[in-house]
Amino acid sequence: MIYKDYVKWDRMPTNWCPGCSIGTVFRHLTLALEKAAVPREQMVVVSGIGCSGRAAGYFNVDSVHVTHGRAIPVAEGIKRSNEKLKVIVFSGDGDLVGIGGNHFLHSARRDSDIKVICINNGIYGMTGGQMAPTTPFGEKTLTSPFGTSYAPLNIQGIVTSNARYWYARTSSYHVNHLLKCLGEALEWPGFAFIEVMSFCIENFGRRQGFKNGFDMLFKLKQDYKLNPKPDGLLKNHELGVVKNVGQAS
Amino acid sequence: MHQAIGKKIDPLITWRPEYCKRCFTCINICPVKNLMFQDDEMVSLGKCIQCQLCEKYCPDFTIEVPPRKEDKK
Repeated sequence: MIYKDYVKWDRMPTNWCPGCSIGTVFRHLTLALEKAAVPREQMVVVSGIGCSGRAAGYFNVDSVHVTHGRAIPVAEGIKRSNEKLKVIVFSGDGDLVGIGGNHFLHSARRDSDIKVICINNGIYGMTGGQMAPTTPFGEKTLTSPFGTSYAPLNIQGIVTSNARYWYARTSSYHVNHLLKCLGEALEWPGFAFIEVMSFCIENFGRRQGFKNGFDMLFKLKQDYKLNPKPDGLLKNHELGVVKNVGQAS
Repeated sequence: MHQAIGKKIDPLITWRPEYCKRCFTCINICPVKNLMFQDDEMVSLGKCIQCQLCEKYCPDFTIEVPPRKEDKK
């Protein structure tokens, strides 16, 4: 089975904005599924609300598009009812850690066997560019025209506060690292969380003075550096994988 | 339904105008500046080195480039 079999071609082109990197992540997820040779009948994609939530409809597999913030509990329910299925959550930061933050907290604590792909663009993109919990400090948005005065949510800290965890931070510019992380997450037996640093050009980048999507893509290249062997946790602006094969006590 | 067939703008490059949103990511990511738009149609200048960066970064499955044949030693 090749990667093209995982895509619903009659729904193409996608309704994402020109230059949006969700399509790049979507493409690399299909490539990772091809590499891991996951049969189409034995996987489910769940996604919540937001631009990236649309991805569930573009996968040619069983998929659910659920209400605001409830992607993780629905995925966990599917996994508990049928243990053979590989359940993938593909959603954005506003859905997973903003609205559904409590579900994320407890799924990470219970170490449920689901793979969560979180596209972190630091904004509530689809609703018009309001300030999100992941917006970096001091950035101008629609609802914070003088810059945000709060620090962003520490997603890595939430995942790694448990006894057993798998967390990766990668970006939509570093596509080879992204593909490697996706493949590794599909193999991990337990809760795997991938934070893909991304951008929103139409509702966030234009307010900061960016003209095109690729300008923001190249900014990711300048901002983030790869750290193949992190010592402890990842620092800010570092990409890598942290994991711990511990036992819950 | 299958993927659109697209058209060959170069012996190596397949471009699918049905899916393309003209985001210019491929044009800016290309290391040899091979691709460009001419009257809303993508053209190739024939300098492709098959690095496949345009295919990797394209968000819409628009461009396809075959991988480079490995040197047989």
